[in-house]
Amino acid sequence: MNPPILCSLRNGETAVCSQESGVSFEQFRTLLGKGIEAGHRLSALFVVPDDSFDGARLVAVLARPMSGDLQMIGCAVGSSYPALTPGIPAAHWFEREIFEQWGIRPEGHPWLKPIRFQPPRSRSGGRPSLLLPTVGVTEFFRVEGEDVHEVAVGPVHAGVIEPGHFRFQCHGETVYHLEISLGYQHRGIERAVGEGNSPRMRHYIETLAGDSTIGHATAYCRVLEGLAGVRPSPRAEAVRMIAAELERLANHIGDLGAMAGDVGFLPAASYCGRIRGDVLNLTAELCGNRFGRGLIVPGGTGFDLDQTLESELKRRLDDIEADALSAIEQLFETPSVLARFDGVGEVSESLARQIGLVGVAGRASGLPCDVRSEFPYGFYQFVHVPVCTWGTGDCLARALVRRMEIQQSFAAIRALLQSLPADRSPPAVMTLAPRRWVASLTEGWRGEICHVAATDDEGQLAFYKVVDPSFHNWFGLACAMRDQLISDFPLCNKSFNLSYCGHDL
Amino acid sequence: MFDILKARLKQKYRTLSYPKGPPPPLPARFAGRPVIGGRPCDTRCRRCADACPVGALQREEGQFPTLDTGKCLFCRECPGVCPTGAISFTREFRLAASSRERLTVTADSQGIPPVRHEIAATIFRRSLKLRQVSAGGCNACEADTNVLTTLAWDIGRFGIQFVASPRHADGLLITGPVTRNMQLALKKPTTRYRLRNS
Amino acid sequence: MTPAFSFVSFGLAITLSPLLLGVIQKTKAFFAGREGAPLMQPYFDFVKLFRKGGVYSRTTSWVFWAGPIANLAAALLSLTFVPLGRIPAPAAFPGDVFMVAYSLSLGRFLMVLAALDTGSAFEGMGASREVRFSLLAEPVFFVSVLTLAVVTQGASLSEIYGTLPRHMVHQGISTIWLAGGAVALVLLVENARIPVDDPTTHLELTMIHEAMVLDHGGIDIGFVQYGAALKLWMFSALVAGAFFPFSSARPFLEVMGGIGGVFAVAVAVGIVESSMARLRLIRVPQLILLAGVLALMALLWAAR
Ligand code: SF4
Ligand code: SF4
Repeated sequence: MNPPILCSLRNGETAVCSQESGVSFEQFRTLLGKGIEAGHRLSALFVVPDDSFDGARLVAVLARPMSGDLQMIGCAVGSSYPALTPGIPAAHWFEREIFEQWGIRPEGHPWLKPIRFQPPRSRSGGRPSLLLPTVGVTEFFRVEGEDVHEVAVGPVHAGVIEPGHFRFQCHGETVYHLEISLGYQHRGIERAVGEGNSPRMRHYIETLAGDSTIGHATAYCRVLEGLAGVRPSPRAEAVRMIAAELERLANHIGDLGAMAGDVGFLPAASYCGRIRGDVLNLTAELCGNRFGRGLIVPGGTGFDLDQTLESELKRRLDDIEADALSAIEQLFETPSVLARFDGVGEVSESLARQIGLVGVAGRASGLPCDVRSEFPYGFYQFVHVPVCTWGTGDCLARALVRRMEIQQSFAAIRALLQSLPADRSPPAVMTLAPRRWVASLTEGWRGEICHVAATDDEGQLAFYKVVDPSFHNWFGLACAMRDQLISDFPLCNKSFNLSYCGHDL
Repeated sequence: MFDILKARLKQKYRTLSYPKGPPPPLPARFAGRPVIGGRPCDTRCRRCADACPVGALQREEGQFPTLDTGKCLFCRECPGVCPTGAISFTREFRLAASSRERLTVTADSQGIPPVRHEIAATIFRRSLKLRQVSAGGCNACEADTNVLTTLAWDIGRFGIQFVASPRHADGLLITGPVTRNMQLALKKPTTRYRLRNS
Repeated sequence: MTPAFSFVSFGLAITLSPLLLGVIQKTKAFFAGREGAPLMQPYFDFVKLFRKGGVYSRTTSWVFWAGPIANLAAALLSLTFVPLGRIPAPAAFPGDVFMVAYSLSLGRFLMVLAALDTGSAFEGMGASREVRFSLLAEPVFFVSVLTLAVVTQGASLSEIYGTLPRHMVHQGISTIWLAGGAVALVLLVENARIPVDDPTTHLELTMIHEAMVLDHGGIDIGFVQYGAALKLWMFSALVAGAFFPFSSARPFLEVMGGIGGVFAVAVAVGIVESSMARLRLIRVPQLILLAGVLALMALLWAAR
């Protein structure tokens, strides 16, 4: 199951396990550094246990938008190695994860603290040791000084949202620093899926982050399809794309409503909240579930549409579009709302690039990162969805990017419904090829979703790695809050709207 | 002000008439409360129990299987594999129960289990403040709980409201299976729940 | 006018003030396009809350539970000096506006102490915000009432408001409305309404007033909310009295007019809350400044 040393793959293409031990660490670091400098993204950085020696394999997946391929680099490391983070800030969260999961220490990491408070994973693949960390107990960053006070929120919040802990170092109402401490939603999904053949795997993935069910399920199915050498029918791919864009619509509309709610702008908040539900109901028409469970299955889709459903969807989509656009217009035409969004929680383009922001947050800072057009997969290979960016990186930018994407998604779904491919072949049977590696990227509504998997000699899944877009972006939220008013935090938080469970896995 | 009114006219009045009126139409592919035993069950077969990814179906020799909706994912594998059609999913959306056991559907189950609590129904009939604690779910529960407060469902009209502080609340709504990391935090607000006069 | 009607209006304030909250809620529900909570919802809430006990943590002292009671008492005391429409208040003396303002301040001070007693960072933050904004709003309130006093040559609130309609006819309404506008802005600040504060928010970090009472439960939060309802009634009465030149020789109609005015203000508050976003916290002082400028202009105009 050794990872390939150095290979470039298309999105979802497999590579054969290598027999050698990988490039040297120095080479690894140089390759990575050069790649990031050249504008590539660190999509994943993780460790694969290896029993053959006292250490493990460090694997990086670099997404290279210019050449449209993914580069997988592997090297062997012992129980510690010189940290990459000082030179490559985007590795920051990944290296903390590596240290927490496997106890492999990135020496010289500036901020080596747990990110999930999960039990360490044993390298021989067995049960975790009994030494359990206590959640939320760590050395928090503190700003010294008489006038500085600390405000701690969570893990249980006042609204109906997921648990997470936030610590603000404040001077009066101004935030000097925000530290985010998560892990309350850690369920161990990555390990469960990496252990192989559970009948629940698809269901685990579907509930990895409920609002991104389609995004994650598609990435997972593409992993399996890649390993099995199966291609879903074009019709299935088109249905998958409809589902993905519906998911994007629902969440973007809901987010704009939630941002309106956070600044107390009642009309848009109320309307968007309802319209979001209507979009979810369209997904429910497709598969019976508002979040799209059971729709994306390995090899194809669990449900198909017939003529009546097609026209029903079209009709309802038109109504929803009219309502949504008028509600959103109202949001952007109310000066008191714009005054609240404008200039709040800025992340500059260079900072966004450094820390590796993805998805809506990245595009709002001017990065043209969008897997759908950079590494097209499924039906996105045939239909181009324009990348929507904005340069200012503030809450307004994140709202505007959402607004543009809402318009694009409506158009994309309508075009797809106009001309669905006709053939309806059922999902094929999956037999995974042994000793293969695969990396699959999809663009969830939050941003880039990356799944990496490997099979063992019997063709069973033996390793699975999930990187949710939130994993890249939580640190961006912390950066966005620097020198902001603490009362603007909820708005900033909503403008990113990151997943707690997607991060915690 | 004028724009606001104009937009309001466009968006219309949207609160559902349910529960006074009929429930909103359910999607055609919706799977609700399962029923067991409409048709006979093949004695030598246990395909449904084997097909279930979560072990929600238990089958003892010679009897109809039982289905635990507390575990069931509503993935509908089981009716797909059943040769006789002894398991089917209805469109009944009222799935709540007031105890763990009542979540299990057997061949003898009739109708929907009662969930009304008499004392709570008198004290909190017109005013119920809830505090939500999310503990290890996938965020779909939170998302749909938030939907309850939107225009269409508008649970505020029944006097139900989600509040910001456990001290303001009459009840707790816990979502998710409770992760290890949430255990501690969950114990805190719950223990604060003992009322002085009760 | 008989004193009996003063007491009737006082009784109406006590019984109808929760309805004011219901009216605001319904107005907002109309603009959102939903059914919304029943008009009587605040009463249902109070009935339930007053059946509940309080919840106290081991670290808080008597200050914590005394705060809401004192606050409610202070609100009731102030109410005895606030006229409804043209109906004089049950009690009045020259300069009673200071009595009203300072007994409200006293109530707030005790609430702040209660909030600080919990030792929670939020409550401290909420208390600091509340104190800062009300500190700014207080002089605005005084200047506005002073303007009205100058216009009407009245000394007590009851005198001032009792003769306002006449002066509106004689001296023109612009001065009075300017002052009334300033009082209306003070109403928004003092009663934690949008655009200053969002009474329905769930976000601890953005709360002003609500953050102070996060730890009060059961009957205590009942006291707090009832006190808030009374305060809203008082300010609405003061705003309505300055805006509506309604006056009648029949005390009964007078009472009805006064109540109508109060509820009209509640509807207006609901409309404001439905049509704009909250200000950034840092901009709130500017809003109060605006109110101050209005009040000063009115004063200069009146003293001309
Ligand atoms: S629907 Fe799926 S989860 Fe539920 S009992 Fe049937 S097979 Fe099991
Ligand atoms: S699959 Fe059908 S016939 Fe077989 S055991 Fe289950 S219910 Fe009975």
